Amino acid sequence: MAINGDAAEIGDVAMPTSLPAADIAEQATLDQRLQSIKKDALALNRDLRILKEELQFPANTQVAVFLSVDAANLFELDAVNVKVDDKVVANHLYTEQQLDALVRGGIQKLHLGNIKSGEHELVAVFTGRGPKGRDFRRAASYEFVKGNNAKYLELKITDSNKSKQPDFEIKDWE
Amino acid sequence: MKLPSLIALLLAFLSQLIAPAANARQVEDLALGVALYEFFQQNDFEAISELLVGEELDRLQNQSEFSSQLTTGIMLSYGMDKEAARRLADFNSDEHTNNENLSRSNYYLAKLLYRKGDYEQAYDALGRVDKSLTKDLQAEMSFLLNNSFLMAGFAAETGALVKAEAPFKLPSSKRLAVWGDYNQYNQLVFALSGSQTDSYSNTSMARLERLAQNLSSSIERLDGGTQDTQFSELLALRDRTLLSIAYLQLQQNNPRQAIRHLRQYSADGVEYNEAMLAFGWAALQQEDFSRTIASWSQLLDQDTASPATREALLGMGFVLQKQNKKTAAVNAYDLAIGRFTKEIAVLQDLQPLLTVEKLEPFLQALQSQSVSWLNDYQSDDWDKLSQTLLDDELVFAQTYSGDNDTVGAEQYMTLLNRLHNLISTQEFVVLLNQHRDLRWLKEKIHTWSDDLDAIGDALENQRERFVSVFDEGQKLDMEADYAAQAELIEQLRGELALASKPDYVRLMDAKESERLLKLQAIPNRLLALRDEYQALIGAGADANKLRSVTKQIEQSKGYADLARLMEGYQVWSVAEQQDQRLWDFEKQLRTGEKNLTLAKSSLDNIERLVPEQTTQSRGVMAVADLADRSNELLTQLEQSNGEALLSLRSMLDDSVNQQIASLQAYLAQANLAKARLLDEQFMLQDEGPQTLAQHDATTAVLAE
Repeated sequence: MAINGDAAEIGDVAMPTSLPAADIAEQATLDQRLQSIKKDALALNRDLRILKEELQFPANTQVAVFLSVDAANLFELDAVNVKVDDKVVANHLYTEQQLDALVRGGIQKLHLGNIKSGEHELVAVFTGRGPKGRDFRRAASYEFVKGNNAKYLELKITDSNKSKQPDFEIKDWE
Repeated sequence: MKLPSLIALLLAFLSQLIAPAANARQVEDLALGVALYEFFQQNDFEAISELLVGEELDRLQNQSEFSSQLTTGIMLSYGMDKEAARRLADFNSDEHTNNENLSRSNYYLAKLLYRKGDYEQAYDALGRVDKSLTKDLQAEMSFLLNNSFLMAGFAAETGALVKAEAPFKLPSSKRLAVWGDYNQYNQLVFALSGSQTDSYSNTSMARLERLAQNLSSSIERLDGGTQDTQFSELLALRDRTLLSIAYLQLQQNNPRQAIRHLRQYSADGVEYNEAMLAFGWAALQQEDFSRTIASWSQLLDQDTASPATREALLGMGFVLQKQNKKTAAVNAYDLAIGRFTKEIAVLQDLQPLLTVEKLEPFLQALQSQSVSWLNDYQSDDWDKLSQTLLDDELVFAQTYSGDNDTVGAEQYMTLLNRLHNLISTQEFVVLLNQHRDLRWLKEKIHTWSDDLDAIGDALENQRERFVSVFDEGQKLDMEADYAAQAELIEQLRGELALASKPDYVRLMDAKESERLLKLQAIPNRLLALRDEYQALIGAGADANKLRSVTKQIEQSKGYADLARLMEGYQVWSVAEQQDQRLWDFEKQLRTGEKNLTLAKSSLDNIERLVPEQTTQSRGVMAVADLADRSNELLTQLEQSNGEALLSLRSMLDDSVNQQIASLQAYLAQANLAKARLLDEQFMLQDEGPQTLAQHDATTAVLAE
């Protein structure tokens, strides 16, 4: 108690109290069990995802659309709309956290679906803020052929140093 | 605040900030990019799952080592120390690992060891990290290196401040500069706490003051809002530095300097109460009692749950006593006694509520942020509170308090507030996080069960389809149907070939053919009559008979002419309909061919569906296996959740008991101080009815 004004003693009661040994041991056991549960849950989720993909999106019909941002100096993404063969398959409005994840190198899986073999067209419309903070809307399209293997398409937003404008590419990962 | 405790508290706080930073880099595998996207949003579970799926399906071929390390790093962040350690050991023993990956691996290992409190080992592991470590990790690496050095006791052994040189300079990036500030703060506070000489202490103090100034300048330059993370971090560190300086100055009996630093403390700083308390003590050292009273009065308005408020309650009587305001001092002690007594009663009321059944909904609400209002709730004004609560919060509050007969709703809110305060302290962090993880996983498993049900239904539909396709009788029917269709087509093709030729007779239907035969028979009949006539003449038949035959011949001639006409008409008519008939045949043929194709496709389908049936069968088995695993996991989760709640309950119980004990100590001191004060008054005055009453009061207080 600090009634004598000894500053070194002030706030003693504010310190977190240390745990009794028994509690620490209990927590350690619980922690070990939780770690084991987490490991099992991750394995379960992995197997479930693989099974879902195998059954619901077999390779001969699977198409997946991804989005990445390579540089974000000239364009700040607000939303994206994706159509395959004139049918909307994905529509996404970005949060600040998601944008940050994209800028730091993350890739978003926008759509996973099924299409028939043959020729198709993908159209993506990007909206956001362009150079000098102006409203910006741009579309990019890509014609592709779906074969027997899964089709992965990546929508890439990059800065074009040459034109000082954002660039929107569609990369075929086949 | 004692300095070693201060360091421990700060380090504990900072260790939570250490998450495995993954640097932005060129992603060469989509699966890695998707995992990073989740990781950067702090979705550790999803990020690890993505990486594990990628690993299993061979989708991380281009950056497999980096992906593997990232998995380990995120596991570390997700609290899977054991698995992370196993993976790191595997990785470090692999002779093919390159320098960059080895550095990163050792860096992660050091983080793991640091978190476990094995600072010496952490320091060793960091010694194996070289310049190849990616830049984004270097600032944190430097921080870890210095802290491991401090915490391992090397600083004390060598008598040096931190001399553990990192293999690189701290990055100049503004975003990362805060790590350097944290480093400096820790080093200086550590040095000050163990310094033996005045000159060394003075130098360190001067550097600490410079750090506070630099931080203030950085804050001014940033001029950010409270939403800015970097701004908030710098502000928190600046405040912490100011408070440390102030307490150190108080220790050195230098109240003027202490006040100078406390004045700069943020009004909304997390330790504002401690700052106010220190301000009061500093003023007291200067014998500026009115300033002490002014600063502590602010604390008195706050909840007794605050330790600084308790100190101020007790200290207030002491200050008044120093001013020789004895009556006021007695009143102040009375106020403190009343507040301490009430707080003890509140905590005692809280104890029966510390049951697993009561804690579970409280924690749920806490984790879903629906009791955030409890943090701000400092009064017992139920009506006011009811107005400020959102609907769901009000429902929660009423539901929670609804089944309690002994405590009213208003008082209940006070109790919940105390519970919230207790549970928000550092010691509960680990257990609360464990409980949160368990709850999250439980919800996740329920979602997976729904997914499994949906997959199971789809597989069942597929199975039914297979059963009908693979039914042997149906297959035979299909084959017979196919054969019949093929035969029909052949027949139609023949018909068509014939029909396309000008063979009208072939084009006639049965009726037409019969009619034609009859017509064709008429001339034959005429010939027969002519032959009969010739025979009658030759036989010398009589005139009547010959006339009769002649008449028949004449009639038959007429019929034959008619028949020839009719035959001609009929052929013409058939020829006229030929196109239509050919078209009809064509149509029949096309229909037949279509049916034949369908029949063939059905038969081919059977062949094609064989591998699909295999996938389906495997799917059914996999779903069953996953369902079993998820049920088992759910059982384990329930069990662990129960244990977590029990541990939490037990810890809360201990914590409440400690709080009560602490309050009782405060209460005893307040009573003692009051009794001494009354006793002094008693000794100074002559005996009389009034002083006798005072004496009795003093005796009673002392007895208590």
